[in-house]
Amino acid sequence: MRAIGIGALSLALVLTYAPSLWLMFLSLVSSRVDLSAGGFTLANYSALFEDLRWLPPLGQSILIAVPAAVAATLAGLFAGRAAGRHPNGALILTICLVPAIVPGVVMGASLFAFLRAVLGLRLGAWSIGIAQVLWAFPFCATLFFLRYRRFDPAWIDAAATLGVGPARAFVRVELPIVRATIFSALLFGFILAFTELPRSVFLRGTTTTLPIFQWAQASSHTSQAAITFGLSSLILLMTTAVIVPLIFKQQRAP
Amino acid sequence: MAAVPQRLDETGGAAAPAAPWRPDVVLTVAIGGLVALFPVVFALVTSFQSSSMTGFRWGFSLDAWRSVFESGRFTVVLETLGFAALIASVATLVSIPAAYVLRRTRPAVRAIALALMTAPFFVDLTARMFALRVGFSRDGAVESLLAPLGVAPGVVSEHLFGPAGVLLGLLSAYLCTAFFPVFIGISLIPGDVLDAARTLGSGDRRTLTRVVVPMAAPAIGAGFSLCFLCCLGDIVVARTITGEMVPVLGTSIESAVTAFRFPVVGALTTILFAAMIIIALVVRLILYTRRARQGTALA
Repeated sequence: MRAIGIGALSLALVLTYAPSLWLMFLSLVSSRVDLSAGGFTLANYSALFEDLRWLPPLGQSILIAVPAAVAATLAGLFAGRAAGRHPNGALILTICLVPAIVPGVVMGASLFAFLRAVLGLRLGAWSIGIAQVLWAFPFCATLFFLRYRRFDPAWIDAAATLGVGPARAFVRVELPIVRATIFSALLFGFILAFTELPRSVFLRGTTTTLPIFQWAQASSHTSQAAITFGLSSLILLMTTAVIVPLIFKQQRAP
Repeated sequence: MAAVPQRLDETGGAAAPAAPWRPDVVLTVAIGGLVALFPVVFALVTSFQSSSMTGFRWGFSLDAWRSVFESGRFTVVLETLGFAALIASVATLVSIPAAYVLRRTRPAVRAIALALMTAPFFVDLTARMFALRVGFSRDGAVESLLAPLGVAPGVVSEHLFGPAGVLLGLLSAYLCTAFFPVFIGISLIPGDVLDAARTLGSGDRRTLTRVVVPMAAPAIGAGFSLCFLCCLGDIVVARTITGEMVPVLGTSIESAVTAFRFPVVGALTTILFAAMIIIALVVRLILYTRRARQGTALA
Protein backbone atom coordinates (compact mmCIF):
# COMPACT_ATOMS: atom_id res chain seq x y z
CA MET A 1 0.00 0.00 0.00
CA ARG A 2 2.87 2.33 0.88
CA ALA A 3 4.44 1.62 -2.52
CA ILE A 4 1.15 2.49 -4.25
CA GLY A 5 0.91 5.71 -2.25
CA ILE A 6 4.48 6.76 -3.00
CA GLY A 7 3.91 5.87 -6.65
CA ALA A 8 0.71 7.97 -6.75
CA LEU A 9 2.44 10.92 -5.06
CA SER A 10 5.37 10.68 -7.46
CA LEU A 11 2.98 10.49 -10.41
CA ALA A 12 1.13 13.57 -9.15
CA LEU A 13 4.37 15.53 -8.77
CA VAL A 14 5.70 14.39 -12.15
CA LEU A 15 2.45 15.24 -13.94
CA THR A 16 2.32 18.62 -12.22
CA TYR A 17 5.95 19.57 -12.72
CA ALA A 18 6.90 17.88 -16.01
CA PRO A 19 5.64 20.78 -18.18
CA SER A 20 7.38 23.39 -15.99
CA LEU A 21 10.72 21.54 -15.93
CA TRP A 22 10.44 20.85 -19.64
CA LEU A 23 9.80 24.55 -20.19
CA MET A 24 12.99 25.45 -18.34
CA PHE A 25 14.92 22.84 -20.28
CA LEU A 26 13.64 24.25 -23.57
CA SER A 27 14.75 27.72 -22.54
CA LEU A 28 18.31 26.40 -22.27
CA VAL A 29 18.64 24.54 -25.58
CA SER A 30 19.36 26.04 -28.98
CA SER A 31 16.84 23.97 -30.97
CA ARG A 32 13.46 22.99 -29.64
CA VAL A 33 12.99 20.41 -32.42
CA ASP A 34 16.34 18.69 -32.52
CA LEU A 35 17.44 18.52 -28.90
CA SER A 36 20.76 16.90 -29.74
CA ALA A 37 21.82 19.85 -31.91
CA GLY A 38 23.77 22.70 -30.39
CA GLY A 39 23.67 21.67 -26.72
CA PHE A 40 22.90 24.08 -23.90
CA THR A 41 22.94 27.82 -24.46
CA LEU A 42 21.79 31.08 -22.92
CA ALA A 43 20.94 32.45 -26.36
CA ASN A 44 17.20 32.40 -25.59
CA TYR A 45 17.74 34.60 -22.55
CA SER A 46 19.95 37.10 -24.42
CA ALA A 47 17.32 37.19 -27.19
CA LEU A 48 14.70 37.87 -24.52
CA PHE A 49 16.53 41.02 -23.49
CA GLU A 50 17.02 42.12 -27.11
CA ASP A 51 13.37 41.71 -28.12
CA LEU A 52 11.56 43.69 -25.45
CA ARG A 53 7.98 43.35 -26.74
CA TRP A 54 7.09 41.62 -23.46
CA LEU A 55 8.04 44.64 -21.38
CA PRO A 56 4.87 46.79 -21.89
CA PRO A 57 2.56 43.83 -21.05
CA LEU A 58 4.68 43.13 -17.96
CA GLY A 59 4.38 46.77 -16.86
CA GLN A 60 0.63 46.69 -17.55
CA SER A 61 0.27 43.49 -15.51
CA ILE A 62 2.05 45.01 -12.52
CA LEU A 63 0.05 48.24 -12.79
CA ILE A 64 -3.23 46.32 -12.69
CA ALA A 65 -2.28 43.52 -10.30
CA VAL A 66 -0.98 45.77 -7.49
CA PRO A 67 -4.23 47.73 -6.92
CA ALA A 68 -6.23 44.54 -7.59
CA ALA A 69 -4.29 42.74 -4.84
CA VAL A 70 -4.83 45.64 -2.44
CA ALA A 71 -8.56 45.74 -3.25
CA ALA A 72 -8.91 41.95 -2.91
CA THR A 73 -7.06 42.06 0.43
CA LEU A 74 -9.27 44.85 1.80
CA ALA A 75 -12.45 43.12 0.60
CA GLY A 76 -11.11 39.81 1.92
CA LEU A 77 -10.36 41.38 5.31
CA PHE A 78 -13.88 42.80 5.49
CA ALA A 79 -15.61 39.59 4.42
CA GLY A 80 -13.28 37.20 6.25
CA ARG A 81 -13.61 39.21 9.45
CA ALA A 82 -17.40 39.21 9.18
CA ALA A 83 -17.57 35.48 8.43
CA GLY A 84 -14.85 34.46 10.89
CA ARG A 85 -16.71 36.04 13.83
CA HIS A 86 -20.16 34.76 12.83
CA PRO A 87 -21.79 31.51 14.07
CA ASN A 88 -22.74 30.65 10.45
CA GLY A 89 -19.38 31.82 9.17
CA ALA A 90 -18.78 28.75 7.00
CA LEU A 91 -21.99 29.47 5.07
CA ILE A 92 -21.05 33.13 4.59
CA LEU A 93 -17.60 32.06 3.38
CA THR A 94 -19.19 29.62 0.92
CA ILE A 95 -21.07 32.52 -0.65
CA CYS A 96 -17.78 34.42 -0.94
CA LEU A 97 -16.13 31.41 -2.57
CA VAL A 98 -18.56 31.24 -5.49
CA PRO A 99 -16.50 33.54 -7.78
CA ALA A 100 -13.64 31.06 -7.46
CA ILE A 101 -15.89 28.08 -8.19
CA VAL A 102 -17.60 29.61 -11.25
CA PRO A 103 -15.35 28.77 -14.22
CA GLY A 104 -13.28 31.78 -15.30
CA VAL A 105 -14.51 31.60 -18.87
CA VAL A 106 -18.13 31.86 -17.66
CA MET A 107 -17.46 34.77 -15.32
CA GLY A 108 -15.43 36.52 -18.02
CA ALA A 109 -18.01 35.99 -20.75
CA SER A 110 -20.89 37.06 -18.46
CA LEU A 111 -19.10 40.23 -17.36
CA PHE A 112 -18.13 41.02 -20.95
CA ALA A 113 -21.70 40.63 -22.17
CA PHE A 114 -23.00 42.74 -19.28
CA LEU A 115 -20.42 45.53 -19.35
CA ARG A 116 -19.96 45.76 -23.12
CA ALA A 117 -23.23 44.61 -24.68
CA VAL A 118 -25.71 45.77 -22.02
CA LEU A 119 -24.02 48.84 -20.51
CA GLY A 120 -21.99 49.74 -23.62
CA LEU A 121 -18.82 50.49 -21.60
CA ARG A 122 -15.36 50.59 -23.14
CA LEU A 123 -13.30 47.81 -21.59
CA GLY A 124 -9.65 48.03 -20.61
CA ALA A 125 -7.37 47.97 -17.59
CA TRP A 126 -10.24 48.75 -15.18
CA SER A 127 -12.33 45.76 -16.31
CA ILE A 128 -9.29 43.45 -16.12
CA GLY A 129 -8.80 44.82 -12.61
CA ILE A 130 -12.35 43.85 -11.68
CA ALA A 131 -11.76 40.36 -13.05
CA GLN A 132 -8.56 40.02 -11.05
CA VAL A 133 -10.22 41.20 -7.83
CA LEU A 134 -13.05 38.70 -8.36
CA TRP A 135 -10.50 35.92 -8.79
CA ALA A 136 -8.23 36.85 -5.89
CA PHE A 137 -10.94 37.88 -3.40
CA PRO A 138 -12.20 34.38 -2.40
CA PHE A 139 -8.66 33.26 -1.54
CA CYS A 140 -7.97 36.40 0.51
CA ALA A 141 -11.33 36.04 2.28
CA THR A 142 -10.50 32.43 3.15
CA LEU A 143 -7.15 33.45 4.67
CA PHE A 144 -8.83 36.07 6.86
CA PHE A 145 -11.70 33.74 7.73
CA LEU A 146 -9.24 31.14 9.04
CA ARG A 147 -7.34 33.83 10.97
CA TYR A 148 -10.46 35.31 12.57
CA ARG A 149 -11.72 31.85 13.56
CA ARG A 150 -8.66 31.72 15.83
CA PHE A 151 -8.93 35.37 16.85
CA ASP A 152 -9.59 35.78 20.54
CA PRO A 153 -12.36 38.40 20.98
CA ALA A 154 -11.24 38.87 24.57
CA TRP A 155 -8.54 41.20 23.21
CA ILE A 156 -11.24 43.52 21.87
CA ASP A 157 -13.20 43.18 25.13
CA ALA A 158 -10.06 44.15 27.01
CA ALA A 159 -9.52 47.18 24.78
CA ALA A 160 -13.16 48.24 25.26
CA THR A 161 -12.81 47.84 29.05
CA LEU A 162 -9.87 50.19 28.89
CA GLY A 163 -12.04 52.77 27.11
CA VAL A 164 -10.75 52.26 23.55
CA GLY A 165 -13.37 52.85 20.82
CA PRO A 166 -14.12 50.21 18.11
CA ALA A 167 -12.23 52.06 15.34
CA ARG A 168 -9.14 52.61 17.48
CA ALA A 169 -9.29 49.01 18.75
CA PHE A 170 -9.44 47.78 15.16
CA VAL A 171 -6.38 49.81 14.14
CA ARG A 172 -4.31 49.39 17.31
CA VAL A 173 -5.30 45.87 18.42
CA GLU A 174 -6.79 43.84 15.56
CA LEU A 175 -4.62 44.90 12.64
CA PRO A 176 -1.30 44.19 14.39
CA ILE A 177 -2.59 40.74 15.36
CA VAL A 178 -3.63 39.87 11.78
CA ARG A 179 -0.61 41.59 10.18
CA ALA A 180 0.94 38.33 8.92
CA THR A 181 -2.36 37.36 7.28
CA ILE A 182 -2.55 40.76 5.59
CA PHE A 183 0.93 40.20 4.17
CA SER A 184 0.01 36.69 2.95
CA ALA A 185 -3.23 37.95 1.39
CA LEU A 186 -1.39 40.75 -0.43
CA LEU A 187 1.20 38.32 -1.77
CA PHE A 188 -1.27 35.62 -2.81
CA GLY A 189 -3.61 38.28 -4.19
CA PHE A 190 -0.86 39.80 -6.28
CA ILE A 191 0.33 36.48 -7.71
CA LEU A 192 -3.20 35.33 -8.46
CA ALA A 193 -4.03 38.67 -10.10
CA PHE A 194 -0.74 38.74 -12.00
CA THR A 195 -1.29 35.28 -13.54
CA GLU A 196 -5.07 35.60 -14.13
CA LEU A 197 -6.08 34.76 -17.72
CA PRO A 198 -9.55 33.29 -18.44
CA ARG A 199 -11.46 36.37 -17.25
CA SER A 200 -8.95 38.91 -18.58
CA VAL A 201 -9.15 37.44 -22.10
CA PHE A 202 -12.77 38.60 -22.33
CA LEU A 203 -12.43 41.86 -20.43
CA ARG A 204 -9.18 43.20 -21.90
CA GLY A 205 -10.54 45.65 -24.47
CA THR A 206 -7.28 46.72 -26.11
CA THR A 207 -5.15 46.23 -22.98
CA THR A 208 -2.59 43.44 -22.97
CA THR A 209 -1.29 41.92 -19.76
CA LEU A 210 1.59 39.46 -19.64
CA PRO A 211 -0.59 36.29 -19.46
CA ILE A 212 -2.66 37.61 -22.40
CA PHE A 213 0.54 38.35 -24.32
CA GLN A 214 1.87 34.84 -23.69
CA TRP A 215 -1.50 33.32 -24.49
CA ALA A 216 -1.63 35.21 -27.79
CA GLN A 217 1.91 34.08 -28.57
CA ALA A 218 1.07 30.46 -27.84
CA SER A 219 -2.23 30.62 -29.74
CA SER A 220 -0.80 32.22 -32.87
CA HIS A 221 1.49 29.23 -33.59
CA THR A 222 4.21 31.69 -34.62
CA SER A 223 5.52 31.95 -31.08
CA GLN A 224 9.10 32.86 -30.51
CA ALA A 225 10.78 30.39 -28.18
CA ALA A 226 13.10 33.08 -26.89
CA ILE A 227 10.24 35.11 -25.46
CA THR A 228 7.87 32.38 -24.35
CA PHE A 229 10.29 29.88 -22.81
CA GLY A 230 12.81 32.31 -21.35
CA LEU A 231 10.23 34.65 -19.88
CA SER A 232 8.03 31.88 -18.50
CA SER A 233 11.02 30.17 -16.92
CA LEU A 234 12.07 33.37 -15.19
CA ILE A 235 8.54 34.00 -13.89
CA LEU A 236 8.23 30.38 -12.76
CA LEU A 237 11.53 30.52 -10.87
CA MET A 238 10.65 33.82 -9.20
CA THR A 239 7.14 32.66 -8.24
CA THR A 240 8.37 29.34 -6.88
CA ALA A 241 11.18 31.04 -4.97
CA VAL A 242 8.63 33.26 -3.21
CA ILE A 243 5.77 30.81 -2.72
CA VAL A 244 7.49 27.55 -1.74
CA PRO A 245 9.39 28.93 1.31
CA LEU A 246 6.24 30.77 2.42
CA ILE A 247 4.08 27.66 2.30
CA PHE A 248 6.89 25.55 3.78
CA LYS A 249 7.11 27.99 6.70
CA GLN A 250 3.32 27.92 7.23
CA GLN A 251 3.27 24.11 7.15
CA ARG A 252 6.07 23.91 9.72
CA ALA A 253 4.45 26.48 12.01
CA PRO A 254 3.19 24.92 15.27
CA MET B 1 1.44 41.08 28.58
CA ALA B 2 -0.83 38.76 30.57
CA ALA B 3 -2.75 36.14 28.65
CA VAL B 4 -6.36 37.05 28.05
CA PRO B 5 -8.83 34.22 28.77
CA GLN B 6 -10.23 32.82 25.54
CA ARG B 7 -13.91 32.41 24.72
CA LEU B 8 -14.55 29.47 22.44
CA ASP B 9 -17.74 28.27 20.78
CA GLU B 10 -18.70 24.60 20.40
CA THR B 11 -16.66 24.26 17.18
CA GLY B 12 -13.52 25.49 18.85
CA GLY B 13 -13.72 28.78 16.95
CA ALA B 14 -13.88 32.20 18.49
CA ALA B 15 -17.15 32.91 20.24
CA ALA B 16 -19.79 34.65 18.19
CA PRO B 17 -20.78 38.16 19.13
CA ALA B 18 -24.22 38.81 20.54
CA ALA B 19 -25.72 40.31 17.34
CA PRO B 20 -24.95 37.94 14.43
CA TRP B 21 -26.57 40.17 11.77
CA ARG B 22 -24.15 43.06 12.10
CA PRO B 23 -23.84 45.49 9.16
CA ASP B 24 -20.57 43.94 7.94
CA VAL B 25 -22.19 40.50 7.81
CA VAL B 26 -25.24 41.83 5.97
CA LEU B 27 -23.05 43.67 3.47
CA THR B 28 -20.82 40.63 2.90
CA VAL B 29 -23.82 38.36 2.32
CA ALA B 30 -25.53 40.93 0.06
CA ILE B 31 -22.51 41.67 -2.14
CA GLY B 32 -21.27 38.06 -2.08
CA GLY B 33 -24.74 36.82 -3.01
CA LEU B 34 -25.01 39.36 -5.82
CA VAL B 35 -21.65 38.34 -7.29
CA ALA B 36 -22.54 34.66 -6.87
CA LEU B 37 -25.95 34.96 -8.48
CA PHE B 38 -25.01 37.41 -11.24
CA PRO B 39 -23.54 34.94 -13.80
CA VAL B 40 -26.33 32.40 -13.22
CA VAL B 41 -29.23 34.85 -13.55
CA PHE B 42 -27.58 36.80 -16.36
CA ALA B 43 -26.88 33.62 -18.38
CA LEU B 44 -30.43 32.33 -17.92
CA VAL B 45 -32.06 35.65 -18.87
CA THR B 46 -29.84 36.34 -21.89
CA SER B 47 -30.19 32.79 -23.24
CA PHE B 48 -33.83 33.62 -24.07
CA GLN B 49 -32.95 36.79 -26.03
CA SER B 50 -31.86 37.08 -29.64
CA SER B 51 -28.64 38.56 -30.99
CA SER B 52 -28.22 41.95 -32.62
CA MET B 53 -25.13 43.53 -34.19
CA THR B 54 -24.15 45.16 -30.91
CA GLY B 55 -25.52 42.79 -28.31
CA PHE B 56 -29.09 41.77 -27.52
CA ARG B 57 -32.52 42.27 -29.01
CA TRP B 58 -34.62 42.12 -25.86
CA GLY B 59 -37.76 39.97 -25.86
CA PHE B 60 -38.25 36.22 -25.78
CA SER B 61 -36.62 33.88 -28.22
CA LEU B 62 -35.51 30.26 -28.32
CA ASP B 63 -33.06 30.91 -31.19
CA ALA B 64 -29.99 30.56 -28.99
CA TRP B 65 -31.12 27.20 -27.59
CA ARG B 66 -32.03 26.00 -31.10
CA SER B 67 -28.60 27.09 -32.30
CA VAL B 68 -26.83 25.25 -29.49
CA PHE B 69 -28.54 21.97 -30.36
CA GLU B 70 -28.40 22.36 -34.16
CA SER B 71 -24.87 23.73 -34.60
CA GLY B 72 -22.99 20.90 -32.93
CA ARG B 73 -22.16 22.96 -29.85
CA PHE B 74 -24.16 20.56 -27.69
CA THR B 75 -21.90 17.72 -28.83
CA VAL B 76 -18.94 19.81 -27.70
CA VAL B 77 -20.65 20.28 -24.32
CA LEU B 78 -21.12 16.51 -23.94
CA GLU B 79 -17.53 15.79 -24.97
CA THR B 80 -16.22 18.38 -22.51
CA LEU B 81 -18.35 16.86 -19.75
CA GLY B 82 -16.81 13.47 -20.59
CA PHE B 83 -13.27 14.90 -20.50
CA ALA B 84 -13.93 16.64 -17.20
CA ALA B 85 -15.51 13.57 -15.56
CA LEU B 86 -12.66 11.31 -16.70
CA ILE B 87 -9.91 13.67 -15.53
CA ALA B 88 -11.63 14.39 -12.20
CA SER B 89 -12.01 10.63 -11.58
CA VAL B 90 -8.36 9.86 -12.39
CA ALA B 91 -7.11 12.86 -10.38
CA THR B 92 -9.19 11.82 -7.35
CA LEU B 93 -8.05 8.18 -7.58
CA VAL B 94 -4.39 9.29 -7.72
CA SER B 95 -4.90 11.80 -4.91
CA ILE B 96 -6.36 9.37 -2.33
CA PRO B 97 -3.33 7.04 -1.88
CA ALA B 98 -0.93 9.97 -2.41
CA ALA B 99 -2.60 12.03 0.34
CA TYR B 100 -2.78 9.01 2.67
CA VAL B 101 0.94 8.34 2.34
CA LEU B 102 1.74 12.04 2.69
CA ARG B 103 -0.28 12.24 5.92
CA ARG B 104 1.91 9.54 7.44
CA THR B 105 5.28 10.96 6.39
CA ARG B 106 7.60 13.14 8.50
CA PRO B 107 6.44 16.77 8.85
CA ALA B 108 9.41 18.14 6.90
CA VAL B 109 8.79 15.84 3.91
CA ARG B 110 5.09 16.65 4.09
CA ALA B 111 5.78 20.40 4.11
CA ILE B 112 8.07 20.17 1.08
CA ALA B 113 5.62 18.00 -0.89
CA LEU B 114 2.69 20.30 -0.07
CA ALA B 115 4.67 23.40 -1.01
CA LEU B 116 5.60 21.76 -4.31
CA MET B 117 1.97 20.85 -4.99
CA THR B 118 0.86 24.41 -4.24
CA ALA B 119 3.32 26.31 -6.43
CA PRO B 120 1.71 25.38 -9.80
CA PHE B 121 -1.45 27.27 -8.74
CA PHE B 122 0.56 30.44 -9.24
CA VAL B 123 2.39 29.64 -12.47
CA ASP B 124 1.12 30.71 -15.86
CA LEU B 125 -0.81 27.78 -17.34
CA THR B 126 -0.35 28.89 -20.95
CA ALA B 127 3.44 28.65 -20.74
CA ARG B 128 3.27 25.18 -19.19
CA MET B 129 0.86 23.93 -21.84
CA PHE B 130 2.93 25.53 -24.58
CA ALA B 131 5.92 23.53 -23.34
CA LEU B 132 3.80 20.36 -23.48
CA ARG B 133 2.84 21.18 -27.06
CA VAL B 134 6.49 21.41 -28.03
CA GLY B 135 7.17 18.11 -26.26
CA PHE B 136 4.27 16.45 -28.11
CA SER B 137 5.36 17.68 -31.56
CA ARG B 138 6.69 15.44 -34.33
CA ASP B 139 10.30 14.53 -33.41
CA GLY B 140 9.71 16.23 -30.04
CA ALA B 141 10.67 14.85 -26.62
CA VAL B 142 7.93 12.20 -26.43
CA GLU B 143 8.72 10.77 -29.86
CA SER B 144 12.47 10.96 -29.18
CA LEU B 145 11.97 8.92 -26.01
CA LEU B 146 9.81 6.35 -27.82
CA ALA B 147 12.00 6.09 -30.95
CA PRO B 148 14.33 3.42 -29.45
CA LEU B 149 11.23 1.29 -28.85
CA GLY B 150 10.57 1.28 -32.59
CA VAL B 151 7.70 3.78 -32.62
CA ALA B 152 7.62 5.44 -36.05
CA PRO B 153 7.82 9.27 -36.19
CA GLY B 154 4.44 10.97 -36.24
CA VAL B 155 2.45 8.03 -34.84
CA VAL B 156 2.32 9.28 -31.26
CA SER B 157 2.27 13.00 -32.02
CA GLU B 158 -0.82 12.47 -34.17
CA HIS B 159 -2.70 11.35 -31.03
CA LEU B 160 -1.08 13.87 -28.72
CA PHE B 161 -2.39 16.71 -30.86
CA GLY B 162 -5.89 15.29 -30.37
CA PRO B 163 -8.08 14.33 -27.40
CA ALA B 164 -5.28 12.27 -25.79
CA GLY B 165 -3.08 15.36 -25.57
CA VAL B 166 -5.94 17.40 -24.12
CA LEU B 167 -6.55 14.75 -21.47
CA LEU B 168 -2.86 14.66 -20.51
CA GLY B 169 -2.76 18.45 -20.41
CA LEU B 170 -5.90 18.68 -18.25
CA LEU B 171 -4.55 16.07 -15.83
CA SER B 172 -1.24 17.90 -15.56
CA ALA B 173 -2.93 21.26 -15.08
CA TYR B 174 -5.68 20.35 -12.62
CA LEU B 175 -4.57 17.29 -10.67
CA CYS B 176 -3.53 19.52 -7.78
CA THR B 177 -7.08 20.95 -7.51
CA ALA B 178 -8.32 17.46 -6.56
CA PHE B 179 -5.33 16.67 -4.38
CA PHE B 180 -5.68 19.50 -1.86
CA PRO B 181 -9.27 18.93 -0.65
CA VAL B 182 -8.54 15.18 -0.46
CA PHE B 183 -5.35 15.78 1.54
CA ILE B 184 -7.09 18.18 3.94
CA GLY B 185 -9.92 15.70 4.47
CA ILE B 186 -7.54 12.81 5.16
CA SER B 187 -5.25 14.85 7.41
CA LEU B 188 -8.26 15.87 9.56
CA ILE B 189 -9.00 12.25 10.50
CA PRO B 190 -7.87 11.86 14.13
CA GLY B 191 -4.70 9.82 14.52
CA ASP B 192 -6.41 7.79 17.29
CA VAL B 193 -8.88 6.38 14.77
CA LEU B 194 -6.09 5.15 12.48
CA ASP B 195 -4.18 3.76 15.49
CA ALA B 196 -7.32 1.95 16.63
CA ALA B 197 -7.77 0.40 13.18
CA ARG B 198 -4.14 -0.74 13.21
CA THR B 199 -4.44 -2.11 16.75
CA LEU B 200 -7.46 -4.15 15.67
CA GLY B 201 -5.34 -5.79 12.98
CA SER B 202 -6.37 -3.73 9.99
CA GLY B 203 -3.67 -3.49 7.32
CA ASP B 204 -2.89 -0.36 5.31
CA ARG B 205 -5.15 -1.27 2.40
CA ARG B 206 -8.09 -2.15 4.66
CA THR B 207 -7.59 0.98 6.77
CA LEU B 208 -7.59 3.10 3.63
CA THR B 209 -10.71 1.56 2.11
CA ARG B 210 -12.74 0.95 5.31
CA VAL B 211 -11.72 3.89 7.50
CA VAL B 212 -9.96 6.67 5.60
CA VAL B 213 -12.10 6.82 2.46
CA PRO B 214 -15.49 6.75 4.29
CA MET B 215 -14.34 9.38 6.81
CA ALA B 216 -12.84 11.65 4.15
CA ALA B 217 -15.73 11.09 1.71
CA PRO B 218 -16.98 14.74 1.79
CA ALA B 219 -13.46 16.02 1.06
CA ILE B 220 -12.99 13.44 -1.70
CA GLY B 221 -16.30 14.62 -3.20
CA ALA B 222 -15.12 18.23 -2.96
CA GLY B 223 -11.81 17.36 -4.67
CA PHE B 224 -13.62 15.58 -7.48
CA SER B 225 -16.06 18.49 -7.92
CA LEU B 226 -13.35 21.16 -7.92
CA CYS B 227 -11.23 19.32 -10.48
CA PHE B 228 -14.34 18.66 -12.58
CA LEU B 229 -15.27 22.36 -12.55
CA CYS B 230 -11.75 23.49 -13.46
CA CYS B 231 -11.64 21.09 -16.42
CA LEU B 232 -15.12 22.10 -17.51
CA GLY B 233 -14.32 25.81 -17.77
CA ASP B 234 -10.81 25.52 -19.18
CA ILE B 235 -9.91 27.51 -22.29
CA VAL B 236 -6.15 27.26 -22.15
CA VAL B 237 -5.27 23.56 -22.33
CA ALA B 238 -7.13 22.42 -25.45
CA ARG B 239 -6.40 25.56 -27.39
CA THR B 240 -2.70 25.76 -26.54
CA ILE B 241 -1.97 22.09 -27.12
CA THR B 242 -4.11 21.40 -30.19
CA GLY B 243 -4.95 24.81 -31.60
CA GLU B 244 -8.59 24.58 -32.67
CA MET B 245 -8.45 20.85 -33.40
CA VAL B 246 -10.26 19.73 -30.23
CA PRO B 247 -13.11 22.12 -29.44
CA VAL B 248 -14.18 22.26 -25.80
CA LEU B 249 -16.89 24.16 -23.96
CA GLY B 250 -14.57 27.04 -23.02
CA THR B 251 -13.39 27.65 -26.57
CA SER B 252 -16.97 27.30 -27.80
CA ILE B 253 -18.07 30.06 -25.40
CA GLU B 254 -15.10 32.16 -26.47
CA SER B 255 -15.91 31.80 -30.17
CA ALA B 256 -19.54 32.77 -29.49
CA VAL B 257 -18.36 35.89 -27.62
CA THR B 258 -16.02 36.80 -30.50
CA ALA B 259 -18.96 36.48 -32.91
CA PHE B 260 -21.12 38.67 -30.60
CA ARG B 261 -23.59 35.79 -30.18
CA PHE B 262 -24.27 36.57 -26.53
CA PRO B 263 -27.54 34.61 -26.22
CA VAL B 264 -25.65 31.49 -27.32
CA VAL B 265 -23.08 32.28 -24.62
CA GLY B 266 -26.00 32.52 -22.16
CA ALA B 267 -27.39 29.16 -23.27
CA LEU B 268 -23.99 27.43 -23.06
CA THR B 269 -23.36 28.95 -19.65
CA THR B 270 -26.78 27.83 -18.42
CA ILE B 271 -26.00 24.27 -19.54
CA LEU B 272 -22.68 24.51 -17.71
CA PHE B 273 -24.36 25.68 -14.50
CA ALA B 274 -26.95 22.92 -14.83
CA ALA B 275 -24.13 20.37 -15.17
CA MET B 276 -22.39 21.86 -12.12
CA ILE B 277 -25.57 21.66 -10.04
CA ILE B 278 -26.29 18.08 -11.17
CA ILE B 279 -22.75 17.00 -10.30
CA ALA B 280 -23.00 18.68 -6.87
CA LEU B 281 -26.35 16.96 -6.23
CA VAL B 282 -25.03 13.57 -7.34
CA VAL B 283 -21.98 13.92 -5.05
CA ARG B 284 -24.25 14.92 -2.15
CA LEU B 285 -26.63 12.06 -2.88
CA ILE B 286 -23.77 9.54 -2.87
CA LEU B 287 -22.49 10.92 0.44
CA TYR B 288 -25.99 10.97 1.94
CA THR B 289 -26.71 7.40 0.85
CA ARG B 290 -23.37 6.22 2.25
CA ARG B 291 -24.05 7.96 5.57
CA ALA B 292 -27.59 6.57 5.77
CA ARG B 293 -26.25 3.06 5.08
CA GLN B 294 -23.65 3.48 7.82
CA GLY B 295 -26.36 4.72 10.19
CA THR B 296 -28.49 1.66 9.43
CA ALA B 297 -25.54 -0.67 9.97
CA LEU B 298 -24.81 0.91 13.36
CA ALA B 299 -28.46 0.68 14.39
